[in-house]
Amino acid sequence: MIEAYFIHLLILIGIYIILAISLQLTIGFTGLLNLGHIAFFAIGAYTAALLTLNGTPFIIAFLLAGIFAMIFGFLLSFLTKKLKGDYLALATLAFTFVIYSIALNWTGLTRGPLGLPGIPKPSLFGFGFSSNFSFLILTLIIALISYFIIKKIVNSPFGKVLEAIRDDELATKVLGKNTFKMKSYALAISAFFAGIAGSLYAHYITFIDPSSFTLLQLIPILVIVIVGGLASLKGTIIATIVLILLPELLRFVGFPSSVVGPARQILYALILILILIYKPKGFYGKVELE
Amino acid sequence: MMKNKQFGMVLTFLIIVILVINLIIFMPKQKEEIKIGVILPLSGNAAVYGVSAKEGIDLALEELSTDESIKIKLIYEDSQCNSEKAVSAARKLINVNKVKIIIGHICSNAAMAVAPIVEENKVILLSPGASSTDLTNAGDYIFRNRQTISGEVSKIAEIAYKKFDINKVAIIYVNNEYGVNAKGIFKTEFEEEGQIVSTEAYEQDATDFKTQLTKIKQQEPEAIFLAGYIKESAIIIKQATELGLETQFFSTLGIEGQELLDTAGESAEGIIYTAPMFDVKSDERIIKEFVNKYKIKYEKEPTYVFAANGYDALKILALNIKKCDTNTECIKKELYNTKNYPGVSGTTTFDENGDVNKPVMIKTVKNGQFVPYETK
Repeated sequence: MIEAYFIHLLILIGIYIILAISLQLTIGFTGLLNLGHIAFFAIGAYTAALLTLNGTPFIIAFLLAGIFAMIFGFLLSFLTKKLKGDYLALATLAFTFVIYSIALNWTGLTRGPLGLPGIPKPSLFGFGFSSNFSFLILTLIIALISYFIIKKIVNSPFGKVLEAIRDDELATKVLGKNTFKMKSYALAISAFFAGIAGSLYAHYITFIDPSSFTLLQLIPILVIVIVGGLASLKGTIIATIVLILLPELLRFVGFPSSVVGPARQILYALILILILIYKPKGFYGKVELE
Repeated sequence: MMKNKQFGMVLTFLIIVILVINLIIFMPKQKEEIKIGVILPLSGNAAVYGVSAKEGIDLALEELSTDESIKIKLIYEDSQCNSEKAVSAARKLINVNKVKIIIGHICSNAAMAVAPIVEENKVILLSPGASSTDLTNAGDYIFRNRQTISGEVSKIAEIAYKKFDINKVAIIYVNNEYGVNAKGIFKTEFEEEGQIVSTEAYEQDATDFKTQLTKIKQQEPEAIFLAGYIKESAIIIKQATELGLETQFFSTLGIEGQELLDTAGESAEGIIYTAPMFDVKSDERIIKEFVNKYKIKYEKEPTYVFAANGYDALKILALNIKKCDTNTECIKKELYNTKNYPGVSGTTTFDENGDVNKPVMIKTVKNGQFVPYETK
């Protein structure tokens, strides 16, 4: 029985790894302070949920979730073409709010605040992933593939250009690189992975509503990226595991029931602060965010 | 001498052994401890409601602790009103603590996300506060002892056209699951008789409603139905008066509280709303007892109905656990058979969907007091 709880946690870790390493691609490797990641996650979740609820096979809905998020990633990169640093952060944050508002107010499509219940568990070529264990295998395979693709990207010449953009965009331009094109690719790829993570999330929890995609939900992912260390995939994965398991471990600390909610969060915050005091660049951070 | 001493020792030993054996045989049988999981928003936006429910549950537990025939242990988990956190909490309670019964959820999103898990594991979920109409059909093991929105809202719609003979109503609702559901039900109910001239939404925690109210004013409604919470509703009533929108207001239980009188002042006079039978100032014996005990334990009044709902939830469960011991199927059956349980939050009868329809009363504000509305 207790395994079921671990399986649940591993599934969450798998989904968050996809989310965090794809955010690492934009923030850590390309230096774009992208706060619109949770919006891509939302787009993916809603796309997959709506499509499968209307009878589309899982695999198509799953890929469309990623592609749809990717299209929005391209769109966002065009809209924020001339923005940098803090201004880019604000513009992408606004994008998060826009997508949230659409999910909340386009009631005809998303049922608004009522949310979408009863999202079916995925099935692939006749094999149903209805048990949590099979869903875990699916999630881990997708997480692993995502990891290798992103690792391949950051180690490729294209990835090196992205890092050059992060370190000195002007110099990269002088070298004759089309930095805008590169940045927009990076954002779109990152959005694609956020979209498929959203699809997995929707199929796993089986209920989504706009409140799952607010700024509040973005913060944990951002924390993972920073604690893991910018531009480090290994660090991101370790940070994901630590930060998902930490609050769960705190459930087993015997607080009196009168303070159980706040006490856990205070302790969680305290541990985060300590990590960043002793490891200001995160676990394996290579660069510092300007 | 020596022999006597030895004999004495043997005798004492024998007496002790006999006593111990006696104790073991005739000791009142200790009941097996039953673990009940509790998932509530104990931190975050909805923490006030979660803590209120928790206080009610704790009070019920304290009373039950004097009862020898039942031993209950509560395990609290915080959901923060977040569906993912609620799922983790439910998984932990079910898989690690092996609970068979969960009391939980004020927020509907958390309840909806947990619903498939409790169904799959055949765990009973009794919600003291989730309002979503989707929860009605979410599963067989899911119960709630919060008045459903439809019960309240249809009542107020009926009052509006029957007692007040009103034909044109505008709705202003909070853009969340509660407001959207309430708006929808009011609309279907009322449109059988009258006309909805305008529906306007607002975001929770908003403080300026002049845009929506101006739009409503142009439609000249005879009454406005407020589907929302006290904080915003009080400001809406105040701003409506400022804009010269002098109409009858209708609302639901969310409206009653000191905040309404403080913010809206005289404008609140005459508002008609539905309230559960739970009333802090009620003269009914069980409610009086509950309020007194609550005041002694927490040194404050039970402001929110969730305290009463939580209290009733554990009491009802305890009653059925006594009958069924740890047999979940039996408890489930007994819950469906619960008829007219005299709860603090009203007479409780579960219907075939595990919902309750507690009696509601119509109240109004008169001379700065919340009083039952006298039907003429």
